[in-house]
Amino acid sequence: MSERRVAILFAVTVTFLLASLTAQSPERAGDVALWVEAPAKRLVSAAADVAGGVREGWRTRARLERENEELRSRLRQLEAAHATALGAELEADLLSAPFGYARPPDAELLLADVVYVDYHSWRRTAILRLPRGNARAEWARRPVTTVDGLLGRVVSAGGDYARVLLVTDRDSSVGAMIERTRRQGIVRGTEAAGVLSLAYVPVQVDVQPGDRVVTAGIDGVFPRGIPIGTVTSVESGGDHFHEIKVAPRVDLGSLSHAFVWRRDPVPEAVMDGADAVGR
Amino acid sequence: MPWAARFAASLALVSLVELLLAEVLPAAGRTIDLFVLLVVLGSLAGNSLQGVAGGLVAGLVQDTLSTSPFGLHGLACCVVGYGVARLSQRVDTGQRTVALLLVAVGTLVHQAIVLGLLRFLEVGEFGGAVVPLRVAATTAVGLPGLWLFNRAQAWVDERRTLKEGRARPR
Repeated sequence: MSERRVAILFAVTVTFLLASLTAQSPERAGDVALWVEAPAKRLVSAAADVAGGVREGWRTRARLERENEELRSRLRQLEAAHATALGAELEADLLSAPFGYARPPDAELLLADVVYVDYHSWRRTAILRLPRGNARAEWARRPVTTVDGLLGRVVSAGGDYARVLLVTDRDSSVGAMIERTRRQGIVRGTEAAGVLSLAYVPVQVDVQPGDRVVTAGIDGVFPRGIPIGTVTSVESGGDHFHEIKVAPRVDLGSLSHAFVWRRDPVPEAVMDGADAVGR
Repeated sequence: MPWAARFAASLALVSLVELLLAEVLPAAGRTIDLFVLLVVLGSLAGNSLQGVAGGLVAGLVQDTLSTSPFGLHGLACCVVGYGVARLSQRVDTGQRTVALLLVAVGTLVHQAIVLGLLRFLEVGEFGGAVVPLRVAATTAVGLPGLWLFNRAQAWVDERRTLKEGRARPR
């Protein structure tokens, strides 16, 4: 018999004797069984984990593919809308060129924390905390918006804080227009919190519930096109004007951040001679 | 006389002596491990397979005669037998010193395995302090054992030569 076979025979004999001896010691038999069993169980567990991971990976991949397809579709729609908007912008520029009209420069937005909101009491205001060194007294009348739409305007500033008069306050008035018809009016706060009124819209003008109301840019404070709200009801308020109720676009009950526009309003000296709209 | 028969006869003799020692001189019986001596000497004269087989058989007989877990000495003697058989292929076992050294090392390995297994299995008490004494005593007994072994080997060789001389055609 070759040495190799003898070595194998020797190993088998020793293993058999070891197993036999271990079996005579119940405690050690359990330990050895565990020692042999544990790696096998770990192997099975690892295999199950891998299989589960692969299955989960396929599910995730399928979900991501669906989401990706939806996002691609959405992107195509947005690209089409963007192209349309660019075309409209170009057309507007072409049409306004003969009149010498120049669009105002884009405003810079300053992100601020909303630290206080009161939209139910008599004076409906909010207090913002601005980045250090940005709250200055001359910032009064700066527009304040959220990602949803118009919030109000700064009425005072000091330290790192600025007080904002909400668009729903009774003393607030904003030059506005119905987006669909471009007809202008003035949006004011009402007695009821969360309800705005759009005044001075003649009865001849077509106004429908659901029409979007945006800033008109005619009050010297707010730039044009900021969403204010949606028309909820239209009634005849007299011989000349509609009585229009508007639901504000911004949910005042869920405020956390706001943007203060650095765009300078029309100077006070100039506004002193103008109408009182937007003051 | 084949190796297996000689080994079996030697094993029977060793078993008998062990039993006698246990009755007459219990201390000597506990100190001198004649089975290990037999395994080492048997492996010196045989190959690896004979070392494994001889060690296993001698160890199991020792397990039968003792109160230790069955297979304990079988395992230890099997390892010693295989190891000595492999070593004897690489060293000159004709030198008495080398042979005695193999006996000492074999006894030491045997005792280490038995001690380690008893501790691992937690099935019995085994004093480690007796190991050096056991190695020394077994090696000391190995000296006359080796002389007897060599004499027996010479006698066997002489008989074989004589037998072959008679069988040779004239």
